[in-house]
Amino acid sequence: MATTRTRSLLARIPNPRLFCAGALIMLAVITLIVIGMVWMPYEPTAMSPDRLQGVSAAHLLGTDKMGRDILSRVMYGSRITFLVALGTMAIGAGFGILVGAVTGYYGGIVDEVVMRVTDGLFAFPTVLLALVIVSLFGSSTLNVMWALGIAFVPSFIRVARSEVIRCKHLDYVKNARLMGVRDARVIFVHILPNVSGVIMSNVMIGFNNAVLSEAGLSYLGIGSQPPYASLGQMISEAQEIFFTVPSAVLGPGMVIVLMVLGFSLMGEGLRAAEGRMA
Amino acid sequence: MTRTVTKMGGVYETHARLNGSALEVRNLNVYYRERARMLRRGNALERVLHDVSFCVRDGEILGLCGESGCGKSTLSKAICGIVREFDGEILLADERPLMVFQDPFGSLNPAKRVGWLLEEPLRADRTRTWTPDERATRIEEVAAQVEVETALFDRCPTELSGGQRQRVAIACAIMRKPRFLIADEPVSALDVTIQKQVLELLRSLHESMGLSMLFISHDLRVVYQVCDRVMIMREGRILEQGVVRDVYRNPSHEYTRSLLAAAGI
Repeated sequence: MATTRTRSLLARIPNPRLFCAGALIMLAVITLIVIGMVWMPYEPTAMSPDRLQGVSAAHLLGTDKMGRDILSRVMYGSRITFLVALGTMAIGAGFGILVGAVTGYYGGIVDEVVMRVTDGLFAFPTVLLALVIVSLFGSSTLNVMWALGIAFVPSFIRVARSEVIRCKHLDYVKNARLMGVRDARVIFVHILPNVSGVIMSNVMIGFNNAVLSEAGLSYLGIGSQPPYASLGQMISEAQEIFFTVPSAVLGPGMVIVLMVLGFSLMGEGLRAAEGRMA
Repeated sequence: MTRTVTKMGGVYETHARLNGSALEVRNLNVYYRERARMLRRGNALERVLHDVSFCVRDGEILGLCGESGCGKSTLSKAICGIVREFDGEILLADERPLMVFQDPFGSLNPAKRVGWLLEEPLRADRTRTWTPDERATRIEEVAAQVEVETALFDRCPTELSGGQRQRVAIACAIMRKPRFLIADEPVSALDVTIQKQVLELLRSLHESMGLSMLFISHDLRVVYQVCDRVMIMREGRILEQGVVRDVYRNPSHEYTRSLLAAAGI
């Protein structure tokens, strides 16, 4: 039973090859993060006299200008970046899907108002909106997560709403309502599983944007504070030593690229030609 | 007895005391309101059903015929209690009826498994609570009745044939042992051999359960096979109604005659 269920789940993914390729890349990144949680070659904040060293057996990715081991910092930084992206998606997608699905289902004046507010939020560039929130509440990893999460809400409201509206007039939804199924159950049990493909692929793409926005924000110096680092911050700090220790930029850069690539592929794999799971 | 009265004075009553009928519709007028735009409420009313009166007797299959756009679907919506703007009376002896839809590809949730779909009407039953054991027993019982093998319970509706799907849809509709249901073009989307099987199934359920039905169809031949009485509708009005054989032999209305001629009867 369990095996047939997983098999048919995989079979329902429109493009399993792309999805699996993405999943493999993500697995590699997550492995790096998990190893970093258990063991790192050096303490990521520990300074040492061996500054600006290149790639060597002692320091696989070299050291930065304060003599900190870059591999350890990459491991730590990926964890921060990944968790911020995850939290961002939990806030953005969780809230966005909830609001979008409910207002789309009921329609009417509340829907109209929510959509206009959403349009208003859309008018701000994501990073700018996050900047405003962070400067209001102070710069910390947690605040960046909230800021980005809120900035991502509108796009999920949009997607969930339009998908629910597309489905709510279909016969199986009418049928469920005739049977006396309660509205919340109609929305979350009858409709949402049918649009999960579209929504999941948007979550994957949103995850990418979250990784990039977080990196962008910390490049600007907003987010987790030194000496702790997220990937974007490491790149920002390393630009002056790029030609001395290229791995100081390439290391964190590579992880960002892998994360984004992995999620893009997974997202693409979930998106069928006609835009829904068949 | 549950009675709802609309703003326009329309009465919708379930568990009503009716003398030997499953459904009585009296002087029903249904209106559609002009679509509300932005924040403005639409006001113009258009009458789509005109003074419709009929009844479905206990254990009877009543056919409803007419071209598309004549108000068949509106009438079925009104009977299901979805339409709000009407006057006149809709009285049901039982609970709100369920429907069997035309397209068995659209009426079953594609993300669920057949077993889950069959159980849902029982989970959604507001008149009583079904324990998991009772649900399992009931769905097996009904599955046997509509000849759906239990092996199919673990499949998705997308993996079933049109005929199997329509059987599942019918099973869902009769799961709570209703006395009355609405079949909205239940066989129009099926090919002829499957049509025959599904019609036989409906007929046998009608006989074994004493199920009354409002059978909507544009196919006069199908109506002839299944129904006891027939009602011909055009432009929101009932032109004539009577026992199928009588109406087919002596149509009193020119329109009925042309429908019969078109169907080659």
